[in-house]
Amino acid sequence: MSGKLIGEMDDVEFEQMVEAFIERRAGPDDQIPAELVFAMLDKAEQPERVLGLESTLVGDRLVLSAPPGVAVPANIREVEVNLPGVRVIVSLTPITS
Amino acid sequence: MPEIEPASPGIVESSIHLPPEFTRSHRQVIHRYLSGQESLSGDDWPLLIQAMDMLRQATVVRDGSPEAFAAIYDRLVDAAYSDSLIEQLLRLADPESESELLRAIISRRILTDLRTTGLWKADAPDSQLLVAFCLYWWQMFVRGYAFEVAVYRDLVDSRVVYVAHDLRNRQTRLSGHDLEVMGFRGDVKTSTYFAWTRRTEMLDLDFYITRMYHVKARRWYRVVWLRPQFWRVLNGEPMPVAYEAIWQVLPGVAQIVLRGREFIVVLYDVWKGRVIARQV
Repeated sequence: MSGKLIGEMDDVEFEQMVEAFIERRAGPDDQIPAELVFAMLDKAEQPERVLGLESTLVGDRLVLSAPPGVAVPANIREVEVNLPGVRVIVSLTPITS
Repeated sequence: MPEIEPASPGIVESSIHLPPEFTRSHRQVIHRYLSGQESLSGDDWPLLIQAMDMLRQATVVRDGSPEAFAAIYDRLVDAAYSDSLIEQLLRLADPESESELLRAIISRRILTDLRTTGLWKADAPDSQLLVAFCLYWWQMFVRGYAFEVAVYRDLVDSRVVYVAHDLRNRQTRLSGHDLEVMGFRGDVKTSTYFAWTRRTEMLDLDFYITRMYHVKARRWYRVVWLRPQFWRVLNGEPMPVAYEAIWQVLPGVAQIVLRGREFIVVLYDVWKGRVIARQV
């Protein structure tokens, strides 16, 4: 080995390394300890997701609905609406009919 | 540093642009991973994952048009080989072990494709990073779906009643969940896959069939992570434990907290036995 890193190696040397990688079957390189997987899942930053809802007045009721093609995650139990100076929490009640 | 080639008549001018956050440490850890000369440490894995994530945004600029590494992978690897790979996996007697030969064969085709399209060039050393990127994700794809096919086959053999997405169809393959058992929605994924691609997602599903590596025992275990609502239907008392101490409880039934959510972790065969008992 020349001591050069990927992106610095000459073509022949890199091809030899890649060929060895292709030949190598699942082994130590695949063995991420379970505890580390859990830790990475637990500590990863979660991207903020935006869920756009539409509202309609039906009689005296405000009905929130997702636009066509947008799935509402099944675990959502509350919707938070931020208005200037006011934080509105709307609890969702499953339709049981 | 971006690699700029001199313009030559009849030759496509190209350059590779790496994200500014991509450091020599990232290059080193990818090199160590590819060379396989030493095992990666606990600190190396997150760095490797970060490096490969960054490379998704790296671009090849040809004749002034940029194309991200991720888009090149989709076009040159996923669109070209994923459907036929799935078809072949479904025909293998032992997908998990036999798929390694398929992975190797198609990996070499990917190398040829990168060469003939001019994306991997001797005079553009950073194109080696594109090669590494494509080979790694292809490896992840093959091992992930080999595991999924093997699990479905075992569920059929065990007479577990389930509904799974159609792996042959790319659209359904990318659906929000892989299968349903007893009305609960789940995924089948290797733990490596979780570490690489699901860590920023919400862990929304009711259960995950996966495999976990036990360092001290030097072996893999096929396990299921379940949300409590699924486990309650199957019965049994879980043992609350910090995830760092999971192996102190398995093969018993463990209860851990990930991102503030409770999961029951149980050996796959235990889960399967309880599902069958409920379905009979």
